[in-house]
Amino acid sequence: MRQVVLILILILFINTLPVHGDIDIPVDVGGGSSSGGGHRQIDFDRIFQALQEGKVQKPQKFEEMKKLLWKEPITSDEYVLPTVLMYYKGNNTTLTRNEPLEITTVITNQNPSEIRRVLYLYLEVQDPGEKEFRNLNSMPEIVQTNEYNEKTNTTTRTWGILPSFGYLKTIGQEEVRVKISDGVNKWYTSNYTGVYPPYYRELVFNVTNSQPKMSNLTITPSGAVRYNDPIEYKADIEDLDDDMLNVTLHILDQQGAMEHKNITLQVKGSGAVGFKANEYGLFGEADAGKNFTYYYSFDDGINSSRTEIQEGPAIRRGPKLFVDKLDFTAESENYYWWQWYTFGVRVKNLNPEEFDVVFALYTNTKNNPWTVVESKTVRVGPQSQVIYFNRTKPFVVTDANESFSYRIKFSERDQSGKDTIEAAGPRINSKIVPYALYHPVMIMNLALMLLVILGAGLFIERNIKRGIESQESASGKHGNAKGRGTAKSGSGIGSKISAMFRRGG
Amino acid sequence: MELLTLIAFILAAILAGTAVLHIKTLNKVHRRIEALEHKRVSKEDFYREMTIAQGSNFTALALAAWMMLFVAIAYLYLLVPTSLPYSYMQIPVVASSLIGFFIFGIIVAALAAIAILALDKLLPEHYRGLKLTELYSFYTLSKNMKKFIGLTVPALSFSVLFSAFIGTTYPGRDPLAETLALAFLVVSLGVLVAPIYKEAWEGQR
Repeated sequence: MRQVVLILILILFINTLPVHGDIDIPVDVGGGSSSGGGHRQIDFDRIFQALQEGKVQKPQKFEEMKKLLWKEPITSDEYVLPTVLMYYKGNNTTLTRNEPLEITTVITNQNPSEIRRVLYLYLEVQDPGEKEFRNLNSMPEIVQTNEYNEKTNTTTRTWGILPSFGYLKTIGQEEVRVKISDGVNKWYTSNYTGVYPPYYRELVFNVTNSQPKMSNLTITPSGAVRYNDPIEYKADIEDLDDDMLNVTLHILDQQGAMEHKNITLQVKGSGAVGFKANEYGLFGEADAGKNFTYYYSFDDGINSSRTEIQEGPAIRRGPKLFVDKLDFTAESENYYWWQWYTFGVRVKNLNPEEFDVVFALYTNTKNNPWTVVESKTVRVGPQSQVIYFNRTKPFVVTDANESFSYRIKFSERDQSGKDTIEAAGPRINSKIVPYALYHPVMIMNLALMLLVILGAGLFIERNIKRGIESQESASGKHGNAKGRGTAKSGSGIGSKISAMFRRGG
Repeated sequence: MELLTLIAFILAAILAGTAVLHIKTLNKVHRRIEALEHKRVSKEDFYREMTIAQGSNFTALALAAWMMLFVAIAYLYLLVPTSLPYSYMQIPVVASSLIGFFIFGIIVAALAAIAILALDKLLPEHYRGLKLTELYSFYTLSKNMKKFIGLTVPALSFSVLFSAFIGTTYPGRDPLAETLALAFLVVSLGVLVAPIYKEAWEGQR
């Protein structure tokens, strides 16, 4: 209504205020040029400014002006209220919360176009457990007078603002209707009687919830693990409604009676869920030697559920290594790549027990980064001992003239919580060939090569027989094994060629 | 430009010049024969008639010399990364092996042998002039020349020996060894291609 009033006020000002402004409106004053006719220029900015100031400064006068300018909607005895009904595409009214929904309103207006009024539609829902309907759209859906089908006098509105009932936090019966206003009258689709499918006075849905499900519960690594191993709880969770889910991991004692810890994660919809023990500090050194169980509880804000209690993990006891004095010795101070190198590290178990620990030696050069050289399993007790990797040959020719570093990795953690110890070595000698030229190995290499090549020459010749063929060809042609002599004494092409070769013919 | 690299280009030019001169000489003789006979002589007949027996032992030795030539070139230029960015030392499996030098030489010799055999087997008769196995069959070789060609095998062996010495001292460099390896190589190549150049030279006179 306010818009109508404002438009009318504007028209009034346009016709009454002759002022200069930035828009020219030609006004016919019915005289000739002598009567002072011409252009009246209206400044819209001034009009708006005057109205705004009047609304604030003289609200009483402003209201009076509105009443004065109010124009009643077109009324006629012939006017009949348009028929507005709900239409639902689908025959299943039991829906899960996130199931797609298409609700349509069908408006039939039998009035002639001259007396039709603009309709304002509001979609209203009554949620489960609520007693009142509430508007879903704050701004009305407007049906203009000229948009009806000329033959059927019908138009429709599909409510995109309600694609599903995913927003519901409770489930049950959900009712949907439309409130209509034509500026004079207000009514609801539920006011109609004698309505038959597929049209409805109001739509009633039975909204259900898809309960989330969990599957594939696993713990990695399987079997007995150390408390500081990268233990990870994993499971798959599925929720057809794609809700935000609260998933809680409950870690229990071996009997499943007492909760050790619990962690909650929020996940959206379906997918994998994982809890890393190290990330959440689920287990500590004090848990070594204990067995645990676990289960998950989960909810989507409407329903909650839980899994069966699962076994695991079994935290095994382990040594607490003390590692130091990583060192190496080489065959010579020249550090040639072909020489042997012995690496060693001193270890002991800070606990009184003995445990098998795996030690692996790695070397690192520019061309061969962190290559495993050797690994061994050693029983480590409280007595200090040096683990040796004896006379290893970790380098190849391409490592010549490169610096190297070395590392020993162990299967348990040391006093710093690390599982490696590392040090840098010197530059490997740039010399490439291990042997001098007079070394038997070199002599054997070169002599053997020469013999093979000579043999290959003979072998090829014996197979293709070019030398023999030449002789036979020459002797066949001239009856003499000495081709050259034959060519000299002959008189055919051969002898001419031969003569030519002697001095170019 | 380093001397070794420069000489590599010269060696390549000598080899290419040999091929060009060889083909040119054969074609020239072929044209003269046709002129003398006043008729067209097919290449097959021409090659058959102009073939000169050189003996199988000499041919075998010449083939070995040519293979040794390529091995010597590879040893001089590809054993250590002095002249070229690629080298035998970059193949750790071979270079770290006890018989690495042998494997390296044999691979090069095998490639040369394959190329020689492929030319021999695949080229048709009228292209016999392009077969390395019959290179000397179209030239008159004196006994001395044959001896010299035979001596290129030990000469090239010396070149290989000096190149191997350079390899054993790498990354150190020995200019004398490099010069000797190069000298033996150049002289051997000169001897191997001498009959072709000699014939071309005399044909011009």
